[in-house]
Amino acid sequence: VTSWDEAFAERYEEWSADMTADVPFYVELAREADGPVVELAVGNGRVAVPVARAVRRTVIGVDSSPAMLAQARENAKAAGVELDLRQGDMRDLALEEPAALVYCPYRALLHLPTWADRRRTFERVAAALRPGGRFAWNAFAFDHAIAARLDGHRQEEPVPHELRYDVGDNRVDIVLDGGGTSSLWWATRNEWLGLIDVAGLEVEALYGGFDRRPFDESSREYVWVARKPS
Amino acid sequence: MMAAVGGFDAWAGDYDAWSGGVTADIPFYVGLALETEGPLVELAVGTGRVAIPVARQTGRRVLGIDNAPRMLERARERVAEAGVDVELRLADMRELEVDEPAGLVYCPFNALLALPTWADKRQVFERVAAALRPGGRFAWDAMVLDPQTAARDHGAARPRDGGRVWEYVEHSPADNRVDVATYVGGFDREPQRISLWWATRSEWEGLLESAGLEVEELCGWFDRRPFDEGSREFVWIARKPG
Repeated sequence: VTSWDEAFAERYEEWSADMTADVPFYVELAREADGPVVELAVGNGRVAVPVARAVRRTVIGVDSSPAMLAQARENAKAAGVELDLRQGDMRDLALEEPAALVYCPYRALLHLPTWADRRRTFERVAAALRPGGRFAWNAFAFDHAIAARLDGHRQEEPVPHELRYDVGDNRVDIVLDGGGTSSLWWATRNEWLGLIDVAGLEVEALYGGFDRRPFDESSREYVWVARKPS
Repeated sequence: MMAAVGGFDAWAGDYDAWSGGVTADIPFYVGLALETEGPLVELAVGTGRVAIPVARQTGRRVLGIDNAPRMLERARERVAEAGVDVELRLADMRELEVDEPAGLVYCPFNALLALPTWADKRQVFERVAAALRPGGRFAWDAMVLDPQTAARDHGAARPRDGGRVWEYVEHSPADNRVDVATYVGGFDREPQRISLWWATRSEWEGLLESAGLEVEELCGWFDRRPFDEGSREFVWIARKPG
């Protein structure tokens, strides 16, 4: 199973147009970072461009998709900011200089299918961070009611698509009309805690939203900030 | 002393009625015990529903542990009636210790899901790995959270056992938890409450890897059919490298 079909790149800007709430959250973390800032799955630069503008520094952006990186390059140029864009797999992350902040917005860690893929990413992130450096990401909490309602149903917004769930594989496929599939493998809070644990990171905060509200029973988004022990 | 998990102790009197309809797992665990050499250990042995037929059909001793004293009392009676060799110990599975390395440790009936956090589950897996002999096996079953079933059951009371038992289910997605309140013999009685923290396939894989165990088989049911997209039960057989 591939987690990303390049045909999705053509509709990505429309697909992500309504997602803006995460930008101030990641910008704020970048402002607090005293050292290199790295975005995993940088995509078209939707978050990295405002982050680079806010911190007035180069942001390193990693993505496995050449089509998305081409969009990011154009967006960075148009915005007049420096992005150091690198085509690569986040499971192979390697930096020349330890990072103060690695972040991964928009549920992109869920593109990693298995425990082994995620564990490797977490270990690479931990190795890439300086002591005291942070790793931040967000991911949805699996809600049975949403899955029961949307499985197999077509939706018009933001781009016509259908969601197909495979719960045995904890996977949802987003299938765009006219081609382009993106797959997400959801994780429980316990799995995230396990990944943090095995990578030797510590939980700094678990928020229930980008406004830093505490995570509670009503939350449906995990917004994690982890830290490498100093 | 760790906080007890499970909430089964107060339930011992009604547990047999509640679990009486569950039988499909017994031949599976019996079969594993028959094909595995060495000491047999059941985690969360409860009232001996599985351990008794395992001991009977293998002719071997089963060590059964549980953290609920009243469940163990009931198990003791049933073991004596059956005349089988089951040694019962009051213990928390997170603190599992065995006298002799086990050939098979098994944990039926979603019981690992009574452990709330990653740390609890990881500790159990590590203890199990330490308790196994090289080549020894760890087997357990756990539900796959099915969204259609969960949506149907959430907030609803459902009858079991011809209406003698009613279950009231609530799901908490943020905590990957399902709370089950079971009313036996009427809604005027205090229900028995348990919580299960469901896990995904990748979470189980993480626990195995962290404990240094290997997947031998992932089945989708107790007849050992392969796990596939339609499966709604994880039936795991793991192995300590030999």
